[in-house]
Amino acid sequence: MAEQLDMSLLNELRDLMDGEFSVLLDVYIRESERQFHEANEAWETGDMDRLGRSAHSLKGASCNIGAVQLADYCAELESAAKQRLETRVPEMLNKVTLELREVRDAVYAVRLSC
Amino acid sequence: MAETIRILVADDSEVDRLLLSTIVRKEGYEVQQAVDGFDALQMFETYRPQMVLLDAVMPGIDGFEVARRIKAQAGEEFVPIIFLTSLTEADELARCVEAGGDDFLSKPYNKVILKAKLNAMDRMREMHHTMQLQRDEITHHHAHLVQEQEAAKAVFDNVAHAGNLNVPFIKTLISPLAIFNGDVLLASRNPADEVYVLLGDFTGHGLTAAIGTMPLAEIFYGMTQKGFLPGEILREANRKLQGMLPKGYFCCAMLVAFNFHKGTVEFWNGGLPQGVLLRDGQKSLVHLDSKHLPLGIVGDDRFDATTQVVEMAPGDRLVMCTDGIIEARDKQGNQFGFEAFNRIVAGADPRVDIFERLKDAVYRHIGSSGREDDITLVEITMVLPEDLPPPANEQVAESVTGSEEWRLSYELRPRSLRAANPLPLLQHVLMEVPQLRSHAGSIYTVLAELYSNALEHGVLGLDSSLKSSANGFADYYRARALALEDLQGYVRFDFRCEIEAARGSLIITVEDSGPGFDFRSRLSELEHTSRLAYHGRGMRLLRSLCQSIEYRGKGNEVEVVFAWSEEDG
Repeated sequence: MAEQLDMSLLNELRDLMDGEFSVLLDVYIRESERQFHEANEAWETGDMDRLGRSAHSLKGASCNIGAVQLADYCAELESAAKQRLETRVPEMLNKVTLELREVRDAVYAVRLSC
Repeated sequence: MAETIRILVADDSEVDRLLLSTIVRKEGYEVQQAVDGFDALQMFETYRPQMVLLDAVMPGIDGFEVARRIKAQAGEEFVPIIFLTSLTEADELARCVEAGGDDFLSKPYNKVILKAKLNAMDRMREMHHTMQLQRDEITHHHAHLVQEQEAAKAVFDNVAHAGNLNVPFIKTLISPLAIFNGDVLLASRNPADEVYVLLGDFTGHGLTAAIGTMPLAEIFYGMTQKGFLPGEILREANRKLQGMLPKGYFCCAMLVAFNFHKGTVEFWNGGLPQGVLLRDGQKSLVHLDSKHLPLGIVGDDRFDATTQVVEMAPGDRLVMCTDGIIEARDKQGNQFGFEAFNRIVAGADPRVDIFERLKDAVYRHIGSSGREDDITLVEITMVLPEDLPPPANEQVAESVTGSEEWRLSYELRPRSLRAANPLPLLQHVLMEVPQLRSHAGSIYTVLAELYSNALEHGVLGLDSSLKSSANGFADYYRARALALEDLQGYVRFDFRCEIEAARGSLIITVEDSGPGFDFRSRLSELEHTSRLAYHGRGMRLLRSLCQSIEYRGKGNEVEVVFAWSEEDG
């Protein structure tokens, strides 16, 4: 679990958010789901701009909750979309899919310990 | 803190909004959230945030466009915008700055960094606000000051540039360097219908230079209208300015007095550029040079108020200016200079307007270089007495009291004859008679003629035919000054006033200690002299104003009757 999330950052967030820490985690789970879904949809319809924007949003939110590896993959996906590197998109999309699944499990675990 | 600062967080990511809002609220600010660009613009209008945390990448209207519109809408108010972006791409950062971004915040958000940024922005915002208030205050004060100066200028112009300058034979150009003018131009008529013109140039410019104008104008107008002589006015002006102006401040001045009956101009020049008198259709030039110190420098004991008199025939012109014209510089710094001034004045075709040519030449010379000094130019043309416009009718309060039948005798002894001019005093006494007030000008002229005849030809024994020669006037006045120094004798005025209902007469007898003259042969001679002879003009003038003139004794006593009736107006 420690590989997916920066625990010291998460602990800071816990202090900062007080009782709303669990809310923040819930929001992240819901929002990351939506953004991931949007990214896939954009790729299927060939809307590279929208793909880039979705990857950007997912990158930002992930970065903020300490999902560093996921944020990096998202950045690469965003960059591939912006530069229209169609051959690179499936590979990055796949990496994001796998990493997001791990992150979400990790967040659930933290959420349960609240 | 007097007021909680309102902050708008605009981000399409809910996680980011939640995080930022929490941090910001914990720092003591008030927060509202916007979920996209369109929402942000609406919230900006309704919520009126004082700072904005703005995500650059948002669907719909992106952060850059939102920033531009917010800055435009805020106008002069400073609304800091902090862009929420990862500091990875240089050109994206540049776009943020171009759009009006004031700072950046990168992810993951750190509360210490955000707190520092918010504090800094808030201090900037407050400074800007204070500066704005102070600027508005300064603008307000400045407007107030300008308004006061304009009001003061209106008063100042009434004093400094009033008088009968709007007569056709006096042309003037006055260009102020600032609102106030260091140059002063005064003109007034005395009771004998002589026109006095005083051109002055105070040291410095603006308000400092203008302060001395007030007392100078008051002295000039007051004394001229009471009939004081140029020398007396200058002496008083010098005394007043010397006592009033700080050290190093003075007034270069030139006073010219035009006598239209005699065709002469009396002048005194203290420190101004020479005046130029153009005679005989410009064929001859006379320079009225400065021979005295400016007003306000030396004390009364060392002040020299000696004036000079030169002839000036109808059509002759006198051009005067302050050194602003001579020293006017072009772009290269070259002065306009005396040479150019003289060339234009001397070389002018009599049919061409010298005044306009000089004015054009000076402005052409200056070009767009901007003026350094006040520029004042005056041209006065001698006219015939009958061409003088009628004097402004002073409203005199009707008075039923006042003497109706009286006698007055006034004798001037040597020391008075040397030092004092009795005319203002006598005029003042006579004006106590209400019926005489509307004849003030004529009476003053009669008094002046009688007095100068009694003093100059009677007591001093000067020969008025001296005035006929080429240098006549100069010689005559030199001789007069010499004779005054060791004068003996007296001049006595006797006044008798008789008033009956609507008519009346003032009988003036003047007796002098001189040897008299053969008035019988002189009177017949007068019948045959040509109009242009200078001597004898006075006598003709007396005849035109008085009902009768009678010489008595050996010719050292003369009685004139000045009569009036209400129907004369």
